[in-house]
Amino acid sequence: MAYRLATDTRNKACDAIVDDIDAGLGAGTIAIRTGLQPTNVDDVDTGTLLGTLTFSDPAFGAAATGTATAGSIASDTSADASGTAEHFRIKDSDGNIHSDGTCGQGTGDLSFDNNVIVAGGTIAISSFTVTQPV
Amino acid sequence: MAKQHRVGGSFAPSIKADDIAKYRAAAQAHGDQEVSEAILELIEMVELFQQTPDSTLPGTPHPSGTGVVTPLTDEEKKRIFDKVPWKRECDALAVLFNALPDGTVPDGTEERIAPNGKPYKVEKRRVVDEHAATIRKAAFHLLWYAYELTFDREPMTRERVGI
Repeated sequence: MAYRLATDTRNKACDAIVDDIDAGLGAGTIAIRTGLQPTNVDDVDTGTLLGTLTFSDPAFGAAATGTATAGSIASDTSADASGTAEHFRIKDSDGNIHSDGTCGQGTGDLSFDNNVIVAGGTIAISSFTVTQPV
Repeated sequence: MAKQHRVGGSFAPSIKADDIAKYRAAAQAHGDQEVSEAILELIEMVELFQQTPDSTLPGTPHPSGTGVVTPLTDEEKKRIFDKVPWKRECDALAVLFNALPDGTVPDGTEERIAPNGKPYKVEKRRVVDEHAATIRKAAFHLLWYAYELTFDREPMTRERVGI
């Protein structure tokens, strides 16, 4: 049988992951960008910044059964540029990269039904979860 | 692993008559015929669509939790059918348009204040090529409408959703 984590351990691990977004005095952010993710998550940003949404502080509630759910995420009500949302990058308020993932239409780590972003438009995220696997 | 629930939404500004005029002029002046023709055809799509009032059919909540999705009437779907690209054609246009330069250069960072009062920094860019910036915005603004119409719904514009 595989190596497994107990639920309490998963919750603690998940909380540590999401609480890292709250580092710094300001708001953690999720940037929506064009193009592919950087080769490595620690690499510099790639693509064009389409818009930036901000997490609440703290960004996530306490994890339960290994999953943490973000509090409300403030929309970007005036997107910075036009393009196709293809990946996102989460950073703390000091600009340190936390994590990233793909965007797509009904696919990807962050799903949009229409992933075309128009400069001046609004980008919203209604829900965001992070799970620590068993 | 449990399925992650991460849902976003994109709500573009409504296209107004002066936007159409600006986009048409830019497309007609653009050197790349493939891009120019694509934009002009999408303009025709939007102009045709905007000739009739909005659908008043009952709607359902948008997946992002923002606004209500209102389906087009069968009559409207038939009326605009020939002008609305298939989704796979929209996907091909997205590839074409993503290659367009945005006409900007990096211009440092700026601090903004989040709704919770906390500051955050974003990278800034400065427009150095107005035509390139206009063409790219025209392309994606019209493509956004095309995708919305392929979904057989009233486009979820900022104004319609009230955000």
